[in-house]
Amino acid sequence: MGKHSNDRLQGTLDLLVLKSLACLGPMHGYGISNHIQSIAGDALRVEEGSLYPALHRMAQEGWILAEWRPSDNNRRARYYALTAAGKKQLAAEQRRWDELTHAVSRVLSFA
Amino acid sequence: MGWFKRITNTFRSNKLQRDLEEELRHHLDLRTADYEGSGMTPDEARLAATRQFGNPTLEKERARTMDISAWLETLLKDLRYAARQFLRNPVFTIVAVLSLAIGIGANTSIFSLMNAVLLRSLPVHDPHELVALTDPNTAGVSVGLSSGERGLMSYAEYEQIRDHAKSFSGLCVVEAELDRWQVRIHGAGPEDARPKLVSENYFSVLGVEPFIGRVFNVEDAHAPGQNPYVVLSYDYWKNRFGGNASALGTPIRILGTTYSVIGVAAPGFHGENISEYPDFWLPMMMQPSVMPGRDWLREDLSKNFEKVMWLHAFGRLAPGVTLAKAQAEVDVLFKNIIENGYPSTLSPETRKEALDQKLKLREASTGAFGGREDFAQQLMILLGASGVVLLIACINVANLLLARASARNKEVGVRLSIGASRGRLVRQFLTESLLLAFMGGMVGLLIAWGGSHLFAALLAGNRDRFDLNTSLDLRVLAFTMGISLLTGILFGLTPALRGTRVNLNDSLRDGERATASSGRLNLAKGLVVLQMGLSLLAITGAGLLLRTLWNLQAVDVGYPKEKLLLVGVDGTTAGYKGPQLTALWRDLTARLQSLPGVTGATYSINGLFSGSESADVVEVEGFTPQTQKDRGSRFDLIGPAYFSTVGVPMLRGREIGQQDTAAAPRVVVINEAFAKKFFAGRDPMGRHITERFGDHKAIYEVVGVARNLRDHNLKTDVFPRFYVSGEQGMEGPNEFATFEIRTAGDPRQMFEGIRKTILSVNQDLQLDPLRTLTENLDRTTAQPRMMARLCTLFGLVALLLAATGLYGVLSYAVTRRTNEIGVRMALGAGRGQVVSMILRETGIMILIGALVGVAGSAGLAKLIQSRLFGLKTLDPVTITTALAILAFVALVAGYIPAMRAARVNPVRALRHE
Repeated sequence: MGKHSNDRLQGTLDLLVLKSLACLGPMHGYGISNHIQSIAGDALRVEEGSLYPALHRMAQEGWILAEWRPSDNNRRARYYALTAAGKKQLAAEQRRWDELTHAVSRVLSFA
Repeated sequence: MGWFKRITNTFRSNKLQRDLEEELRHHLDLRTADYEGSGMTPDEARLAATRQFGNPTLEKERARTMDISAWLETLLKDLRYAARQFLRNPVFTIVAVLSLAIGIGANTSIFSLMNAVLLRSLPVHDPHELVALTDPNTAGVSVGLSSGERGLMSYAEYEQIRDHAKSFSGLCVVEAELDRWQVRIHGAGPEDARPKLVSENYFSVLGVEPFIGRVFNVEDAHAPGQNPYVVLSYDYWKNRFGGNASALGTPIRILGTTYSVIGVAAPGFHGENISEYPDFWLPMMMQPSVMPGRDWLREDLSKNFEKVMWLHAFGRLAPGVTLAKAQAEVDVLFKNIIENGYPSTLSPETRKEALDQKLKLREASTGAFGGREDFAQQLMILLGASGVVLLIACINVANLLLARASARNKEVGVRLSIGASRGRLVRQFLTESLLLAFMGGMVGLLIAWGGSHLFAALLAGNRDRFDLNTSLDLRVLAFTMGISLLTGILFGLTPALRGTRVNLNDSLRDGERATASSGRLNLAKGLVVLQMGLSLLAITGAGLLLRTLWNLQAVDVGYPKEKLLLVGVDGTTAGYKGPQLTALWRDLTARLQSLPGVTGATYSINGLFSGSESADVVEVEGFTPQTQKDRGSRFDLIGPAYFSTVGVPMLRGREIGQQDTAAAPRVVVINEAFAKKFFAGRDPMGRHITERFGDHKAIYEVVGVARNLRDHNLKTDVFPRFYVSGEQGMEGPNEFATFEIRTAGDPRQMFEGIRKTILSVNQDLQLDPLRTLTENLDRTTAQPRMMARLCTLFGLVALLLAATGLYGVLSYAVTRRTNEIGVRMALGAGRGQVVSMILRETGIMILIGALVGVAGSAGLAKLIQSRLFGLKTLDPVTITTALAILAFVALVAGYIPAMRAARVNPVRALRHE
């Protein structure tokens, strides 16, 4: 599977997940989804179901590390933590995102 | 994802799935708890959480597509689904699998023959290192002056190359023909055996070990006649000696010499020739003992420039020597051999001709096989024919699948609307067609298993014993799998793409409309047109070959074909020499003539259609040759009353009679073709013909002209030929004679009596198998006959498959158009009009198909032109007949659906609407 650098939407979800993990440390899927939603509000709706394939894929790419740990409610939950490769990927994704938004805003402000 | 991870995933598939499920459940539980906390009832909360989450199964699917086990699982699921579909439509499945099996089976059979003849290596040590110095695709014995590239070589030539060439680590020779001799094993009665003479290093050069005992070695090359040993083939040892180790030391008597069994060759090894199965091998040094009176180990250069070329030479290149380097060395050596290999008395012209000879080295891993090129050419034609059959079968299955695909419109619509991706459905469809192809391939292999033996036997033609190893090895299996896969994709892809291109709105609505699939019908019709064209091609090809065969069989040989039998007798091996030979032939002729039931007996050296031929240089009185070809003529040495016995009228003068003895003046009878070419209107009677061979020459006076007769081939014009009395031959009396015996009744009834009569003169006389002339003619036409039969078989199968295809498509079209037909009939169309409407459609398809087919046939005829006889390239009779057959079959196939259409009940059809 390739690196999805052209797939903006996928890249966006990756970026959000990586950023969340970078800021808050290891979290389970539910926590990530809650965090994104609480910050972005209704403006950015992430379909929760699509989060898990993304997590799975990123784990396969080696950007995040998955680990089962007991959670608050005495159940086992899978926690995801950022890896070194993930940090690099985050930086790259962020840079790409910035370039894109700059480009878009430049186009939009040209009038 | 890397492949490694994908594969590791396979092993933890179940765990992966459980983990994923647990994770998702965890998420849903937390979300539900959240909602409950904000005041929802547990049910509402669960529902809201699920809605927000999306479709968990779908997500699970998406997450799981990433690992190969899921891929395999999907495949299994698809296969199970496909199998269920097939079980639900057994007729469809059986028709499809059988069509494919016939196509794949035919192709595999032919391929297994090609594999045996062209691809498979000899079962020897490192077969790819083997090189041949002679042409392994020729066979037999050639006596005389050769020119150009050598097919075979003489023993003296071999000795010189073996002793001087440095390019080879080993060089061996073997007879280029399988003998059949009478042998006595351990004192038992005479029995037929098939031995072969080989040089003493034959087994070591090929790298073949003994199974028991020993094989020949350098000890077995002492001196001519001094090494009476044989090595048995493994099969012969098993069959004749029961695989008993005590076979070692068994005495085998051949023509007065007793040989001793010293070993058995490794199992599976049956010599360098892939179609021959020798019973045992003898050391080359024993040649003079098994062919008394003929020493082929020595060449007497002072007397003769005739060479006996009867050996194939095989060798292995020395380390570091390339084929080109070895070729360069052999070129130099052979040039030297040839320059010193002819008597100094040779005329300058003959010498120039003789020096123009060359040995060509070639890779020889596939061993020897006489007539390989011709055989391969036949196989190519057959592969083409079976390819057409397979293509037609593919189109049939494609059409069946297309019809099914539109029947499954609704199923596809439902699956697409509940979220299946189109790729997923294409994959499902392709899995089905590949499964079909695979089943077809399996059944096809069964067909090929029997078919290849049948085809090999049929194609053997005039070979006495022809046994190709056509076993289905890995290469053949790979071929079958390959074409199965290819056909699966070929016939499956279009239906898969078409079948999944569904307009959801249309397909889910109740009524299936004719208009919805008119595109499919057009495609199906196009495919049927192609089928028509292809089957026309197949039947035209078969027709051309059949007509060729009939033309050959209808050729007038110039004398009555029935009640004539032939038997070859060798006087030299039984010890006859000079005048004894003359006495022998006179004695035999007289005895045969006086046999009850025999109406006449004579002889000639070459016989009739028996595969032997003679030619010499001639000078004709009053004729000036323009080209080299004008210098030669074919000839035969004949006994008294040859022409009247065979049944050929004399046009002028007299035939050869008893008075034409060695003491009488030399006379000659010529045929019409000779008279026409060399005398061209002048009176040949009393003129003189000089026959030359090397420095021998003989002058004959023309005493008669016989009408042309065909003695060796049916195809070409009759060659100029002159006939000399056997007793007046330039080289002394003939050593060999083929008796032509006319019988009053069935010649086959006379075989035993004639054999006994000949052997009563001398038990040691070697006889060729007795044959009737019609048998000999049948052998001459064996290959065209088998080609015609096989191609006719393929043509008929192609036609049948195409007819099935046409029938299927028209039936489907009629069902689809039930409404339309109902409306037409309600508006006053009669049954006749409905029938003619459907048949008109059929007609158009046939017409276009015929055009395609005729165009293709023109190309085909050109391709197989060399195999045709007595036909223009695009024979109008054949084409017309093929068209008529095609039209007839197609109309029959179209008539049944047309009649069904005519029986449509307008009221019911309209109510349906």
